[in-house]
Amino acid sequence: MAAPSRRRLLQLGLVGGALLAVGGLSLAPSRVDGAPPGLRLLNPREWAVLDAVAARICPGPPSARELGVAALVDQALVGFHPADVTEIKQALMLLENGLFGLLSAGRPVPFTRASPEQQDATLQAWRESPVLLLRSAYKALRNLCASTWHAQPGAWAAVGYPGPPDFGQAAAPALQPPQPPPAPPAPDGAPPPEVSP
Amino acid sequence: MSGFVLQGHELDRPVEERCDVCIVGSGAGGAVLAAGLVEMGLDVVMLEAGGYHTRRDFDLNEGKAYPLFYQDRSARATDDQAIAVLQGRTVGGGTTINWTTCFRTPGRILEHWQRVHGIEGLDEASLAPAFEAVEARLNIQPWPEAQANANNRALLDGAKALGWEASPLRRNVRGCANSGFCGVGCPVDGKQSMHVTFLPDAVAGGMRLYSDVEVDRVELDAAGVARAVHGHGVVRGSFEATRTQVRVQAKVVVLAGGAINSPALLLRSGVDGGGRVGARTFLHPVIAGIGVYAKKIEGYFGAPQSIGSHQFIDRGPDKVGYFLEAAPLQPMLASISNLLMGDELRDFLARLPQLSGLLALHVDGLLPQDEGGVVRLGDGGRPRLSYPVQPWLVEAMRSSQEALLRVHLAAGAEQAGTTHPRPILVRRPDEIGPALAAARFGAHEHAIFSAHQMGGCAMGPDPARSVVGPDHRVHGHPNLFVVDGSVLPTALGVNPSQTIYALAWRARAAVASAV
Repeated sequence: MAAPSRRRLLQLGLVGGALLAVGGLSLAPSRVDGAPPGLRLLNPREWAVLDAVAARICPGPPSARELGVAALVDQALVGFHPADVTEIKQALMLLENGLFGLLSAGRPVPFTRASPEQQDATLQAWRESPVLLLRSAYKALRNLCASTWHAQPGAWAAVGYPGPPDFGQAAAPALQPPQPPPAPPAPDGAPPPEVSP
Repeated sequence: MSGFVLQGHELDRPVEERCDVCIVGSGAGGAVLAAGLVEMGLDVVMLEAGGYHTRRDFDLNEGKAYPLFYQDRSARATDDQAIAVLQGRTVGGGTTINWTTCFRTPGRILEHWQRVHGIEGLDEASLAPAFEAVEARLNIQPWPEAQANANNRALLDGAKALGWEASPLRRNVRGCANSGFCGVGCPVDGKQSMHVTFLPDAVAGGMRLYSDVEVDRVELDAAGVARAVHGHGVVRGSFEATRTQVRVQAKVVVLAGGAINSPALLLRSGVDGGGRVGARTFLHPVIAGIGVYAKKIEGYFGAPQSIGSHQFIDRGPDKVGYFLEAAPLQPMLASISNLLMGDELRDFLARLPQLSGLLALHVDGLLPQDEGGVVRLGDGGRPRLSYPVQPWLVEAMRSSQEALLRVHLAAGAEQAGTTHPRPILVRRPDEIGPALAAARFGAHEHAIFSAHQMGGCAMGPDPARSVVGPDHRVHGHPNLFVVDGSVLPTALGVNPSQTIYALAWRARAAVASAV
């Protein structure tokens, strides 16, 4: 679930800044197939890149597409700090960029249009890149996909995990029932009135 | 007179409170302190940024738990992403999601603090009453060796076969179901977390606890006296502010948000201690060694930590020591323990029931040159932690990786491996040396974690070298205290929770005397 921060990435040096700038350019259109309705934070193009990454990180079975990993990550990102979300989007766009793909992994097409072999080669190149920015970006995207895939009950049989025991939490009482709000303190600075349970 | 727990979504008007003591944070430090202050008759208000989660919420689903109960949706990390930082964010703080391992502060650490950091009056004898008190309340007891799960048994068997020290750990549990899910919240209230012990004690005595309230700053007057605490409601599980403004006027303010957060709050309040606030932050940086066994280990079931080895805690005066413990292996946590992808990842975790995960935790901050990491403020006052993985730590990781692989093979693993992108795999002890000689260690070379965050508001008598005095009072601020893991001047070499409990117990008198 690691997420890189744009400012943190930029602090890795001018190389990082230049790379992220390149990420905004585009040589060829992305392939955007089957973006689900109701995406919260990712646009269909960003979803498509993440969907392609998830397919290579977690080939399954069940496949990442089958489990809806990219859409689940989109939902999970809702609680993330906005700066972290921005950086994940930037990492996705940098990965998608064909020109940068050519420079970093010999892949002249957008990630979403590359062959599975080219996609694997790109991710592996990032994973072990001398540019720490790319290692961080790999780790962030990889952990988002891998943790989401492995958290799905539909994936547990594939890893031999029987699932957690059921302690009937839904029926358990709350430890300390919340109390009604106290009245605001009086303007003269008197202490707030006592609240009984 | 009982107090109450109010959750952020129940706050429909601004919160204006007055009290004797306002405590920011409900974890190991804040909770123990609060219970003590309430018992002494003081009026206490506590603010907690995390949500109020209880066993009713603990359905053992990793995908729900990690984002909700951990800092930054469980994505907290050092600013270069090299070290993943697992830190609690919920009522009870880290105690709600920790793995229950309790140690008294080692005497050699207390002596180091006295000798190097000038801290008098903190020794095993003077802390004994505090240790005993929290051991009684939290039922801290050795976990029976016979009940160790196979994952911990691997550490015990391997260490014994190698002639290394290894012993049962003490755990703060009462009626533990031995389920293995401590890290996602105890479903039976067996773990004696703060939210089932000291916090209910404090609430029963009148404390008012507000969850889902993020504190922005402590208001200080020109003389450095804390006047009020200002915060705002947050939408649970997010960074989104609600419209609820919170102001607590208090005679005494105590920061207990833990390492990383407490120094950040001091910085946001304009207190930088001449650059020492946030400095010397320590992480017990962790690396893992994975064993693949022919038999079933099922490391996802059973008490996560029940055996530990301190064989390598003291490696001489110029080396970083480390200790060995186990990690629970539920699938989501296991999936982020490595950097694999594709078929390699699938084939590796397809054997999850046969995997054992052991950890080496490195004791940072003891070498004279080891300053650990630094907390600074980022966008919007958010804490940012930089932590260079220095050469002395790299040396220790190389050594501890060898120890981890040796333990697994000695315990009967068919294969043992590292967490490098291309894992180093060994089947026989004589393969370990040559394989590791060719490997790189350090930041971005393999997975590194932190489950123990310490320091950043270091304790000491000298304002030129520390942030808080031995009584936890921030230097130069008569009614502002820090009572949590951030006051530790170095890492501990043991799991930190009981040290924090005991320091908070001891701090009651000083805090009360400032009211």
